[in-house]
Formats: sequence, C-alpha cells, structure tokens
Amino acid sequence: MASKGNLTLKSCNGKEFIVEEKVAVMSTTIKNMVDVDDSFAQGVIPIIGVDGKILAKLIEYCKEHAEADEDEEVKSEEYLKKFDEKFVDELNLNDLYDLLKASNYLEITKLLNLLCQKVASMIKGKKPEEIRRIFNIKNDFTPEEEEEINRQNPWAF
Amino acid sequence: MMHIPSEVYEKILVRLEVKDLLRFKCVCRCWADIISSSFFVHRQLEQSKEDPDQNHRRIFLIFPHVTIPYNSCDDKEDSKSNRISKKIPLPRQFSRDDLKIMGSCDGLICLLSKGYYVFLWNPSSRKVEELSQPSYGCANFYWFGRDSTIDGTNYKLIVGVSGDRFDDRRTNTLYVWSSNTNTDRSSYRWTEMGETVYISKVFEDRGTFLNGIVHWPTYEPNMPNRLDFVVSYDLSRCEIRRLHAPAVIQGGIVNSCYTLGVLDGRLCTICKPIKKFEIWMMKEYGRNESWVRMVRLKEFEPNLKLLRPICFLKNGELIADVDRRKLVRYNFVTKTVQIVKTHNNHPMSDVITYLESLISPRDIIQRPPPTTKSNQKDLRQLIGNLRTIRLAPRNKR
Repeated sequence: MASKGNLTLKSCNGKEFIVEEKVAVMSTTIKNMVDVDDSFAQGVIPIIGVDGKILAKLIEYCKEHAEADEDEEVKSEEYLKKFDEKFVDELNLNDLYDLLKASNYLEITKLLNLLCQKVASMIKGKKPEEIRRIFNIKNDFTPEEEEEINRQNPWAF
Repeated sequence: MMHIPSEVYEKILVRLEVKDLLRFKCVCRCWADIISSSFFVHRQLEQSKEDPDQNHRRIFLIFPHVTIPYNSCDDKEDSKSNRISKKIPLPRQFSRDDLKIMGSCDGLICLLSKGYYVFLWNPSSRKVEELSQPSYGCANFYWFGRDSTIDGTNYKLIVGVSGDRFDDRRTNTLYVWSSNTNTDRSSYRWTEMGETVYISKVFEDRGTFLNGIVHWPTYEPNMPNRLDFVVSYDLSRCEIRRLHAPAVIQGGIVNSCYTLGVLDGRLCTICKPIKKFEIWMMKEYGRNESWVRMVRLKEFEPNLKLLRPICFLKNGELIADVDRRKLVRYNFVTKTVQIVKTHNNHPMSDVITYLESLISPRDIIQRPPPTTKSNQKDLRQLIGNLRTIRLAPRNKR
C-alpha cells in the first residue's frame, strides 16, 4: 500500500512500482484516472500492455523530469538535455518501439516527442525498403502502384 | 511483433524533410494515406514553423539557384565553401535570367518570370502552378502571403501594375488575387481595386505585411526635397495610405529608408546615413512622429549601399543580404561579419526565406484535377481512332 502522496503502478506482468504522485501524473492518462476516481489514488493502478522493464524506464524518465519541473536549480535545462540524449541513445530498437507505444498510450507528451524525434533522425534519408524492415511493415502496394508513386517524384528516390 | 498506431507514425513523420516524405509515400498504404492527408500537410507546416531548432527553415538564392538550410549558415568549418548550399532545379517554365521573387509564404514562393508570368512554386516538393496575369503592363510592386486577419487559408497576391505606356510608371493600378474567392473553380480571381497609386520609385518591390496591411518603401525623387514614403494597402478596408519614413538628415541630405521589416510586432526600417546603418521602429503604428532609432550599426566594409535583413538564426545572429552581392552573418555581441554565400554576378540577384512544406500550389489555385492516366490513355486511343478514320482534328473533340 502506497503512503500518502505516492501511487502504486502495476505492470501487465504483475510488477508493482511505488512512485511519487508528481512523477506518475507526468502521464496525462494516469492524471485523468486519479482526478476522476479517488480510489485509484489509494489502490493499485494497472498499466495495461506495459511490462515491468518498460514501466521502470518510463518511471526513470518521469522522475528526472518531474524533479526538474519542481526545482530548476537542481536540474538545469542542460542537465536534462544530456539526460534525454543518454536516455534515448541507450535504448535498443525493441525497447524504443515499446516505449513509443507506452508513452503514446499513457500520454507522456515530452517523452513521446523525444522518442519521435529519435526515430525521425533514425529513418531520415533511408530507402523505403529499409523503412519496411525497421518497422516490420508489409508492402501492400501492387508493383504497378509502387511504380506510379515513384514516378510522381522520381527525384526523391 | 510491434504494432505502432498511425497517430504515432504521424508524429514521427511530421519531423522529416519533404524529400523523405515524398519517398516514404511508397512504404505502405497507411503511410501514403498519412502523408497525403490535408490534416498532415497542415500539421507538418505548423511543426516547421514552430520548431525551435529551425530544422525546416531554408534560404533561397535565385541567382545562383541554390537553397541553404538556416542550420548550416553557422557552419564554423568553412563558411565560404559551397558545401552549405545545394543546387535547386528550377521548373522548366521559369525564365533562366528574368525572374523575380514576389513573396514567400507557408513553403510557397511566388515568382514573376519575364516580368509577366506569375508562378506559385513549392521548392521542397518541386511542384509549380501558373497563375493568370492580372493585366498587361509592368508589375512594379507586389506582395504574396496569407491574410491572417480573415482566416487561415486565404492566400493573396497583390500586384501594382503601371499602364501600357512605357514612359508612365507613376500611375499604378492595384490588383488583388485571392485564393478564397468562391465564384467558380477557375483560376481567374483578380480584382481590380479602383484607386490609382502614384509611385515614382519603389525601394523594395516586395511588400512587408503587418496587421493586415502591406507596406512598400518608396520615394519621390522629383519633389523639391526628395521625400520618402511608405505606401500601404489595407487588405480588409481595401484602402491605400501613405506613411512617412523616418527623417534621417545628415549634412543636409535626406537619407533614405531602404528596406522594411517587422520586428517585435512593429514596423521597422533600415536607413543608411553615410558609413552607418540604422534600424528605426515605428512605436505607434500609423503615427509618423513615433519613429524611433533602435540600433546603429557600423558599416562593416566601405561603400555598402543596401543592407537587407533576411532572418535570425537560433543563436541570435542576423543573416543579411548586402548589396544583392552576398549573404553575410552578423553577430551583435562580437560585432563581427562573416560571409555565408556570394551571389552570382546577376542584376536580379535576390534572396528569400521559406519553410519546408507539402502545401501544393495546385490546391491553392484549385484548378480542376488534371486528366488522369487512364483518361489520357482513353484520349490517346480516341485520337488514334479519329486519325485512322480521318475525322475531325483533336481539338474539335
């Protein structure tokens, strides 16, 4: 049971994390849950579809940013920038995708923007077939349709 | 395996360059749909505008035809090299030597070719459309942009055209083209404004927009004490007015207001007393007495005539065009100047900033869609048939 001012988050594989409320409400989704229903604030908040490993990562990120929001002196903008850089650089591809989905679902806007920027710079300049491989996307165009799209802007390829 | 929701893809794609986006249309149907949607086109535009890193901002030099990203202007390595600029192919319809920039807005650059043909061009997507001309005559001054006073999607082009007589450039008729006139889907949407504008000379033919009003710096060389004016046109009231330019008098010579701009939401001008540049600001819009000198810059090399501010970089440095000869970057703290790029030695050398966007010139002009591939095929077949049976020529179809 979490003490006052703390919330308990439970991952889909049963791992529980006790976090400060200000850290948890970096997620708009959690904030809305707590605001609407007081019982969440006392009990356990299930985080559907997010496993313990990813949830730990999310909490690590939110903790740094929540503390920085509270006291700018302790954690400067520069410090946060460095933290963000290191945070995304250390992720492997699978974790990156899982975090993308989780931060989208939990509406952690800052983190979602950071991750989207990371993916954008990762895929910039790549060929369409490389993109399909990276995201495991199936090419659902017929060869004729694909050729037609290529023909519209041949210089972009 | 992972499944990323399309709204997340959208958030990723919106950060990419237009060239990447056009290529990624063939990744899959889902991506093609996202990138082609008008919602995405506008999201991408907003993202380009707001990006604090200025990743989607570019400078276009017309002679030579090159584009420079803001972010490579402060390339410390060697700013004189050609590495920072990229050749940009001009559409074949454009004149190669007589080309003027009428304005730039939302990723579209409006150009005047051979003094007569008007084009809307998106240099990022390389799409171009021609606009009908308002009238025969000489386009003396103009402005292209968005009328923010009405609604977000109303693009306007204003052109001041002088009469047919070659010797009379003073008498100008104002024409306004608007993307929002819902009369029909034809591209002819010019309105002739009744009032005649008398202007002897325009310092800058491209207007400056502020609070729904477009401004051009002008002067009257033939008046006893050569006078400088700012001629303005109010878009919503359809009204022409004149403001005084600041009076910068030095040694009995009235010095000219050379270029207009907007700083801090106020009308500004750069004046040029001998050996200096001064930035003046109109503190209270419309009140001639409220011109105040803000900054005085030293002339950083002898005999400079024209300094035009182009943009500010994210580090606070100013990019300026000097005498239409070169782009320089000016640091206000160290007061140093560095050359970014020299223009070609061309009388029409000019430079403008633009955003990377997917906005399509065709959508602005709203021409009916072109005949599709299959239609063309049918048409070809039909023409073929007509030829074999020796019937009417194709234009009678």
